[in-house]
Amino acid sequence: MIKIASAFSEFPAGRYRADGPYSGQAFREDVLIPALKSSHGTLHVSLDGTLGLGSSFLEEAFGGLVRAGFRASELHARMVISCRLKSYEARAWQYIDEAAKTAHQ
Amino acid sequence: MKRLSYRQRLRISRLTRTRTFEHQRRKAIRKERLRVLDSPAFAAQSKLTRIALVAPRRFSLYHLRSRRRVLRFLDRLRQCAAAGMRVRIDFGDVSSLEPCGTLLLVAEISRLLGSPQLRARISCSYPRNHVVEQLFQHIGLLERLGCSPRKVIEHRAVKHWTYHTGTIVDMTGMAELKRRLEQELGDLLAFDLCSGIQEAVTNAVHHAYIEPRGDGIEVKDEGWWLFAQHVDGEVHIAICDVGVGIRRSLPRSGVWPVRVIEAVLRSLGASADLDAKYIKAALELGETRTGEDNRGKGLPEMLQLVRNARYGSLRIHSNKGMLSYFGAQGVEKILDYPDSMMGTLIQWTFDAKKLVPAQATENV
Repeated sequence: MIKIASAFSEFPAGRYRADGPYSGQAFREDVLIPALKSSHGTLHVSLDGTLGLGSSFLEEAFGGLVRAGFRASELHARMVISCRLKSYEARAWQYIDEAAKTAHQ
Repeated sequence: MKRLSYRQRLRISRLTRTRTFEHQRRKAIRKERLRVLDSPAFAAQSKLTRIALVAPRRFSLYHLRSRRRVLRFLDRLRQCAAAGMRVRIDFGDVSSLEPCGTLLLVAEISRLLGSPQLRARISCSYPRNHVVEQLFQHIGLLERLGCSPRKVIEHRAVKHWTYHTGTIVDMTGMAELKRRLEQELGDLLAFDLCSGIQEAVTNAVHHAYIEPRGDGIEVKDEGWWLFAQHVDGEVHIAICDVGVGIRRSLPRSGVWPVRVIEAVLRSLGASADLDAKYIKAALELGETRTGEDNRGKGLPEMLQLVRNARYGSLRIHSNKGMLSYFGAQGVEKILDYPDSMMGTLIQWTFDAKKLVPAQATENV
């Protein structure tokens, strides 16, 4: 299980590495992708415990997985995203699905 | 009511005449200085090396008269700093500080002081109003302008202001702010609000400084400034940048093709060429379309959290434009002011006592 607040930061914000120290790009490249590559079963990602989750961070972290080469169907099968606020869970999946649509998957 | 003696009446009458004369004399001096500043010859040939600028009584961007005075004052401040003058800001008459106007003042002064081109020399006098002095001391403005702190920060309206600034998207200093927001608004709305704050800061870093502002002042650090105030159940959050504004950044951001932006502007109707239309267009685009790399969602999400709370308001100022949304009535107002604030300011206001417990189904 990946808890974003402890595995990455309680203050995730921004899209690209150049934006700040705890960006969506850094979370995706340094935490999510290595975890997806090394885990063979279901990867549970918990979004709780943070100081908010802006759309820029969420989209780059999760939508960026599709742009990095992961298929949306594979992510749906292998990843579980949980958050006390269900709307943020839904947003993360929405960004994955929209990125897949843009990439014509 | 006590009857005054002849001598007392005489004394009062003499004091009134003296004060009226003194007031009129100062007013005439200020008017003359302003006339000199406004004259075309001033910029080219001024021999003045130092000047005192009187700050307006009220710092607000919402009320028309206050806004005009604040923006004229800031414009003069920029002119004098650009002309290489030593500027002394007279804060003596300042009596009312609203988050929007105060934040813009702090941002513009920071910008001038940080400009490598100007090496601006700006100082100030202490405000006569002790609450205003406490606030300026609390946010570090007096110290930046060379006035050492001399008050104890004890007024309840001042203690609950927090101030943050930065040049990157870094929220690590805001844990205490989040804790206070959770106390006032509940953890669900506080989380949504912090997410909105992140987006406003990200927008400022990505888009606000996409090109030079055009006022001839070179800037080293392109920053954002944030105020949060929470007192008696009312929460105000304001975030400001002093960049190019939404009208100029929207077509240049690369998120939306220009033809798409133009189509949305046409669909909004109105023959007038308004800055406020561009704010509305940015909201419409984010809500209804998918931008490049799924960008452009930030502004609509800032609006959505007010809709979800079913109370509170969002106000977006950008250059001359202003868009206000009032959550309780579901009413939106857009208008252009006569003068530009030269940047973008986003402000949320919530009355915690009137909030509907939001998102009850979130955890189902």
